[in-house]
Amino acid sequence: MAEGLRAAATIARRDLRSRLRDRSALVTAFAAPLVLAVILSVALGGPDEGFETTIALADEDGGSLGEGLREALAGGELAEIVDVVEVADAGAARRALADGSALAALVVPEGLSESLASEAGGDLLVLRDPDAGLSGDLATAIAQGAANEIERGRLAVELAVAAGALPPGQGEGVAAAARARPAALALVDDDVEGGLSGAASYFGPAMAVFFVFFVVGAGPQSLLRQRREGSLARLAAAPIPRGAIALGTAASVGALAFLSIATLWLVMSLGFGARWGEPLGVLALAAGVTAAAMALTTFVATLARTEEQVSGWTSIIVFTLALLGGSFGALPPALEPLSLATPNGLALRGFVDLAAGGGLEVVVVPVAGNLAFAAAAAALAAPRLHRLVAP
Amino acid sequence: MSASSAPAGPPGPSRPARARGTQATTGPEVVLEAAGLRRAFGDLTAVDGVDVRIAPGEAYGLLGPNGAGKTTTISMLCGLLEPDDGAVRVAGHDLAREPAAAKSAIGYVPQEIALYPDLTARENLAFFGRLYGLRGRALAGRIDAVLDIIGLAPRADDRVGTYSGGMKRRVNIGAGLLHEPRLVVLDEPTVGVDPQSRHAILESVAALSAEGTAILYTSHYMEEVERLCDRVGIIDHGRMIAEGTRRELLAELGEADRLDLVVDGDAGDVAEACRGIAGVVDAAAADREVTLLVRHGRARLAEVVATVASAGATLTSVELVEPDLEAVFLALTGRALRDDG
Repeated sequence: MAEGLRAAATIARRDLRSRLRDRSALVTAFAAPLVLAVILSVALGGPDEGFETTIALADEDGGSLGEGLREALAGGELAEIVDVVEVADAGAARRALADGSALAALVVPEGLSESLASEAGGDLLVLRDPDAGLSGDLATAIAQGAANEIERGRLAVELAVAAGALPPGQGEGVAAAARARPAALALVDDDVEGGLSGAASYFGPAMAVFFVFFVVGAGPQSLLRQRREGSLARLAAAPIPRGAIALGTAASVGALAFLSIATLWLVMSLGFGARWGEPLGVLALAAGVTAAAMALTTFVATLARTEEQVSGWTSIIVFTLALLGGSFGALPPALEPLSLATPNGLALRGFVDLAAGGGLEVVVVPVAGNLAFAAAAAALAAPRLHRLVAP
Repeated sequence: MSASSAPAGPPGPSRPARARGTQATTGPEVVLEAAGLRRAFGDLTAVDGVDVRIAPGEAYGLLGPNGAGKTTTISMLCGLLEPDDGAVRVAGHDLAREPAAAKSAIGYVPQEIALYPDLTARENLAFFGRLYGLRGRALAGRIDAVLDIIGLAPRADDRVGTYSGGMKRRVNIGAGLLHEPRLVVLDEPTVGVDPQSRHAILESVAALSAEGTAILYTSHYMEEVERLCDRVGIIDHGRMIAEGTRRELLAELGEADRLDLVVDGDAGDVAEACRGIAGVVDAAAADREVTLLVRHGRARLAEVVATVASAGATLTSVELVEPDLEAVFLALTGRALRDDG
């Protein structure tokens, strides 16, 4: 066992050294994700200067207040300057701000209509991108309008009493109760990072996750290349377990994947003000998506016969997962469940929630999901895994 | 590494009875002992009941055309491929039961340049040395020693990707010698190298043998095997069809000489026509070359020249060659050694 681990460490060191001397590996691991992350952040995260904006509406409540907001946004002059993006919930609204697909958001929490009807009051959430001030102000104004509407209802009771519209003897009591009621609807403003730094907080992890698949996918491909070149036969002739060859290669590409993610993290944070959130959470998400990518690309390699096949199939799968997973921008709400079925989507959900200030609890589901994905892909690969290290 | 393939089938009609040389190795002095090796790939039997025994300091040549089963045999001897049947012991260790101990006694030099071109020669050697358990000063000392043996100490810190073909071949061999194995297996180690590098490689192998290392050597180059090897095994269609010292194998030929002809015309027709000449034991054709095995060849020369003309071809050169292993192979198989068919 110890000898096997020692051999795996020797192989991992050799493999990593070779990769760090390989220009194309360096481009894949460091240059390409960095350049793409910067381009996408700058292109989609610019400041809000125009008269048109996009506001996300998350109507978790499904009641009359949401309907009222919808009508307000679609009516009059607002319809000409506001594009409304309906999203499923507050999380989706935060993500929409983070990836730049909306510049402000209104969130009607579940049960708010009922709460207002029972006079318990409630909060209407306004999410603002501090870099898109006008859009945030507009969203706040719209929300304020809704609050005012409710307040007008409250005052109408008092006026009715004053005008004697209520039966004698009841007016004094209803008016006193109305006065004693707090404002029915409160506005809660919440800044969500947006603009360049917000986009960098989204596209940094997005590109890191996207390229992790290529970085770790190079591991199985290198085993096929070593078989063609004969060095795999020499390794197989050495007094080491065959498993050490696979383990060493996996450790090497895994380490390179972590280096790649860490580099993006550092550069996007220092250079573009991105906020990735809780470091332990970032590491856990990186580990989860790396494991998923490793298992998936290994499975693909066990099905292929040549390096070209592995490369082609891996590229198709990785681009598909990236598109579905939101690496190039969030999917419409209707497709969000599809996004969360991909390792990219799961990881990005975790990264966005971390960036929005979430604690370690927000990465539990994404990490568990990716580990489950990895386990499933590994189980599929296992019966044919020996083929990868056969000389 | 891909396995060799050999068409299964009965020996051809012109094939003589299987020749067997004296077993030079017996008992506890044997470094490599393989018995009854058999391996099939689907319906194709690539190796069928091969036995090999090599003593310390003995150089053993394994000869055979492409697809004869040489590489499959070597793959089984080195633990790269599990035999369907048979057993391999290396330095007293059963390869199936004690693979680590058996493999530690083998220095395998594959046919391909099995190195990492982005690493220097020293880094490559260090990597393979560590896989065999060498560490620290012992490793550094062995690397220096091997670099001296292969004559590349001045270029040790250059990346292997910048080397010539011959230099890569030398490092390829050096990587198999680091751990001072008791058996060195060299699979076509001189393919594509310049004469100077080939000479250096052969000198190194001869020195290893002289120092007591057992050598298993395969090559297409008959002269290399004749020069280096104490004993030779000839493999064809996955079977060992002859084995012995050079003298023992040549004795199988009797009084036959080898006539090498180069013709303008159909070499196949010429070979067929020559088979009808009295004293011609065998004939094979490849491209424009015809190889004849003829008893009392000098006396039959005129008849051969006339037969070439009667077959509609023009003789451009003829050479009477002393009997050699090529002639033995022709006599045993009815084919020239380098004839891929």
